[in-house]
Amino acid sequence: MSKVFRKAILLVVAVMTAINPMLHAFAATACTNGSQYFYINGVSPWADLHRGEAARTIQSLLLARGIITTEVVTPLRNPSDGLFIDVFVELANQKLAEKSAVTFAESVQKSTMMFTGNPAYAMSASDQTLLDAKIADFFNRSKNLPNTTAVTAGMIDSVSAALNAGDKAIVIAHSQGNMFANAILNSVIANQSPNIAAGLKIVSVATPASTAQDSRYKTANQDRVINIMATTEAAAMGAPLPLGSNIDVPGALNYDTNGHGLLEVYLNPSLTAVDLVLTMVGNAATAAANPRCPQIAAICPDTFTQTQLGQVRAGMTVSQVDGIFGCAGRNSGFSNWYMWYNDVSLMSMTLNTASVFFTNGVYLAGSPKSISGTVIP
Amino acid sequence: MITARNDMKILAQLALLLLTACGNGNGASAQSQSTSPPPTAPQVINGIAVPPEPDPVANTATLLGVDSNNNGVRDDVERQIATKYGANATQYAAAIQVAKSDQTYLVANGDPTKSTAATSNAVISGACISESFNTEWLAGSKAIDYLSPLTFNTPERMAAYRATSAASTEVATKIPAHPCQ
Repeated sequence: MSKVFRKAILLVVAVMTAINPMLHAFAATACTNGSQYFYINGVSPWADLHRGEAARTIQSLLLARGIITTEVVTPLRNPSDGLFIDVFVELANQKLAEKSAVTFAESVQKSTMMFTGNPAYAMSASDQTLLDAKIADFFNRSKNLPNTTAVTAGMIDSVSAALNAGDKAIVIAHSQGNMFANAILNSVIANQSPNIAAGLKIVSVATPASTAQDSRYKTANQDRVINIMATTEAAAMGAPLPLGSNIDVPGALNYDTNGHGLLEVYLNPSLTAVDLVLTMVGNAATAAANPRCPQIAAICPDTFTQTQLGQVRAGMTVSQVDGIFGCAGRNSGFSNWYMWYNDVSLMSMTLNTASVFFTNGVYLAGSPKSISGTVIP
Repeated sequence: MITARNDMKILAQLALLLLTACGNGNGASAQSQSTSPPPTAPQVINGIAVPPEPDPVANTATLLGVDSNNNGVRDDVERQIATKYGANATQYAAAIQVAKSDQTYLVANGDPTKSTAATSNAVISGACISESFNTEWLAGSKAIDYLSPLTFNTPERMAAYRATSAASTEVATKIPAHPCQ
């Protein structure tokens, strides 16, 4: 072995020894193995107050049933302002967007035509005037409907941040909030690795959507908003119909004449739905897999050498490394280190010490030209 | 067979029905409250010292209204909260917190930074309501629906509420372990 080579080896060992604690600290931060719970509100007057109230109520119920211990439920902001007519249009557009061939802009146009197509309403003049005014008002507002897109993007960022921190993300959505929840799910599936996406579970309550993740939803037979309004709206537009009701909640209409309220019907301790909904949340948390951490533990081999190479996913371009993680309980040698690439895949790596540099466990610079290995599903 | 025309008719009727059902956010009903005669004005309600009933004209002349003790709650709202919730100290405190949150919507009035803070504070105040009314199921929700129209009781104040709601960029507010101030 040449002196130069031995010096290189010693240098690398020294560097890795020095950064070991930092790498472990980084790995510990990234792999919290925890869970984060989110709540997305539906239509509500005083929506900000009510979503805070609902999120805390859900948290209290989950704590009381032992489904969570220290976790909190964070409300994501669906800024419904309580004027039903506004959300009626927003929901119309979201429903139309469920049809993959319909763009958001087209859906806005279609729903506009639906309301301004000169239907012969059999209404009183005053009702017609009121409706006309409301229609004019909300279609003026509809010019700003891309706000829906911005709101959705913010929610996606929040949930993705939880997943990328190694936490499960359980999203509990009520009513129109389900349209956002499904958008989050679709985005995560499309843009994240299966490992990450496996950490996201949606719990749908009173959903107007046509799909629910793993059929995990509860809609009451007594829910007039979903079973009548949303269904009629979808049918009139030719959009996918909401999922059918699947639970009976006797007495629901005594608390909410629409049979739809989250606290009034679905979480009401005096009614039967609350047990079903909370069980659904618990099952979702069980079904979710913590991103990264279990996979890291699973693939840590007893022996691993620099020469052990595998297949890189076809079409993958390694252009930037996001971070480096160690296997739990192991801290010696290169073979215990694994890298993430753009949150897409977990790869074992073969080191080319000439091109890989780290500080605080974060890749700094240089082209990782010798990164290769096995993509862990 | 349901025709497209019938669909439109049904949709319109549903929209009107639900507009009526969801009328809590309508400034009109709240406006009518402000025109009711002011109560005779005790300075102590349910054992709580409260400011005097403000002059209705002065109280509606500005967006923020009259807050003579500068506690962040309009005087007329503070008196009504003392009347309705004063007998229960915990619920009274939660109601005052909600009223303060609501008033910040008026202060923000569409200012982006203040609006974001206002909606975030409202989330925490809503959580406080849940904590404070937890033994009285649904009473908390009803409290919110009672309280907010007190503050947003004119078209101008309702417009400010909407402006603040629209301007907020808040997405996810972490609720503290103890949301009540």
